[in-house]
Amino acid sequence: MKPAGSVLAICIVLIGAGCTAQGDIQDIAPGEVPSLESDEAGLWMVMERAEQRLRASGRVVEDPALTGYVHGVLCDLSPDYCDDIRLYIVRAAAFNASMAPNGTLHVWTGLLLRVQNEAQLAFVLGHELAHYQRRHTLKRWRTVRNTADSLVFFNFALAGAGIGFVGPLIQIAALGGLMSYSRDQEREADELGFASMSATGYDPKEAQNLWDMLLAEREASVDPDRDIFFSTHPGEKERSDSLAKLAAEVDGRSYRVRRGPLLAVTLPHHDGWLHDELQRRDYGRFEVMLDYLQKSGEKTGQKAGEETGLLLFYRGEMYRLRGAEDDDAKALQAYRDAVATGKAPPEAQRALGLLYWRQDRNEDARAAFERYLALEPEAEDRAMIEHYLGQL
Amino acid sequence: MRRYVVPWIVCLALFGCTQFTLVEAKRQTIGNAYSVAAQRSWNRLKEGNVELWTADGPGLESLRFYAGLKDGERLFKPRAGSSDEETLPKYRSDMTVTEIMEFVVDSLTRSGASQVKGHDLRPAAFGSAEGFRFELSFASATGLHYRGTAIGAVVEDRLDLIIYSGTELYYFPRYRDDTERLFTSIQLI
Repeated sequence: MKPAGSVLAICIVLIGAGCTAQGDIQDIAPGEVPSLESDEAGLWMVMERAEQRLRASGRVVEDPALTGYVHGVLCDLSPDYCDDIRLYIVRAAAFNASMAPNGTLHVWTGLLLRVQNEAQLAFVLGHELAHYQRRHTLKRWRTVRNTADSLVFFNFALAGAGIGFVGPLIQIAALGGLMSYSRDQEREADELGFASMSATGYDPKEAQNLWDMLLAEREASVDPDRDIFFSTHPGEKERSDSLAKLAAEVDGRSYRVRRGPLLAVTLPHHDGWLHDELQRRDYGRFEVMLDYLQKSGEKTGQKAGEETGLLLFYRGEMYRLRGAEDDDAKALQAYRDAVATGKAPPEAQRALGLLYWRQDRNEDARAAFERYLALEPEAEDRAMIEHYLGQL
Repeated sequence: MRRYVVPWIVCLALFGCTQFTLVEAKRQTIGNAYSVAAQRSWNRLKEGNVELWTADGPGLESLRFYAGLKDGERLFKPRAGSSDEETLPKYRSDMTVTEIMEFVVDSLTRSGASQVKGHDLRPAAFGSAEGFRFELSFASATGLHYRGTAIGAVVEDRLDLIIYSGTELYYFPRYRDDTERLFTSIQLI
């Protein structure tokens, strides 16, 4: 179904169920399913269709270790609701997560790449879980359905078609999250997510650290006004400040951050996820993200060598693609630094060869290409590299 | 029909609202750069030095021809009101062949395709020019899988490129042999 068709279906289903009694909406109970004649059941039905579409999209990451880990963090936060949430790791660049009213949770790989520790992941999951527990979608729908704003309710789903290269994907996300929540709902989700992570023993300061990183990325972006995450989550500095205030109010007991378990399941994917981010060619944003990842790696030291080699390689890739003044020299240095870690991918040697060749440093290029082929004997582009060697 | 939305978007991004015309099974000139011998009749969309040929519909299979792409030009048009102007990949005449494949892969990704992979990059003759070949695989937003094959060359700093793609299970194999014969018929102008 096309997005516009989906939105129309939502309207028909929900307006058809519009006679449902109003009044205080209680939190959803663990295991609760809405009654069939309710508008909430209509929302669930539409979400189930969106879920089927997501499963068919080929975007769902099939890695039981990764999905199991993220779901495990969620279950630690809220054991009672653990079985009600269906988690999908969605292969997509950019920081984003969305919770549908039927408990379908989308976590984008761009988010898993960026969270620097388990505490930050727990804050995001707690925030999304709060949207579900507090029935925010249903509340928002009932608030706006009898007003001209009812079209605004679906605005995000329709606007998704125009948001950059992830258009088709963001429509899935939009239908998953259905809409942007109200400012008060976001604040409430922040507070509940924060309380949940603190109660589970995660360092509450990490909520603000995560928020500050996202703001820094947005500021460096070529297109800050069309940021996927901030288009659904108000991004004022005020929000960062309120998280800092909450962190200052918690007691003085020691909290955990935990980076190792997160890295153990995400690091095997970092190469592909960093490549996804680079394809957006938003170099300012990419550089800020790399800086944060590198700093967090240095802080913990856990598997830092492996991660740093890859990050330096992608820093080189960023400079090579950007092609601004002095970028070739910067790329060369980044590739060399990556190789020096002993953990760079073989493609770093190929990239060195291409840059040396462009600079007419033929002997250096030859040596780099030969190292690439030695490291990657089954390289798919072996024939081309051998052709390059023949031209040097 | 929605399964083929991505290739239609790609098609529209290239050609706007232009109309299909018939390509007869005879030698055809592409831009002012090269000619090919069409082995069968195709339907053609054309804009400037870019052409798209299809037999059954762009969502099923297509041949895309780029003739003499210059420094700073793109495979797809930037969309109005987006950041495409700054971020959509541009061709650079100092690109190596490895980077040209990357340029094609990243452009297809930005057009809405997912899981785009370029592989088996190798030297190949493009008419009388020393060129390259590589294979492609990608998926639509709804997960339908496509295969592709590309041939190209840089002639006097300009990129000539032909990309054939189609749905993996039926349409790509259906015109594969015709496409291979078309590739070997390339003559530079």
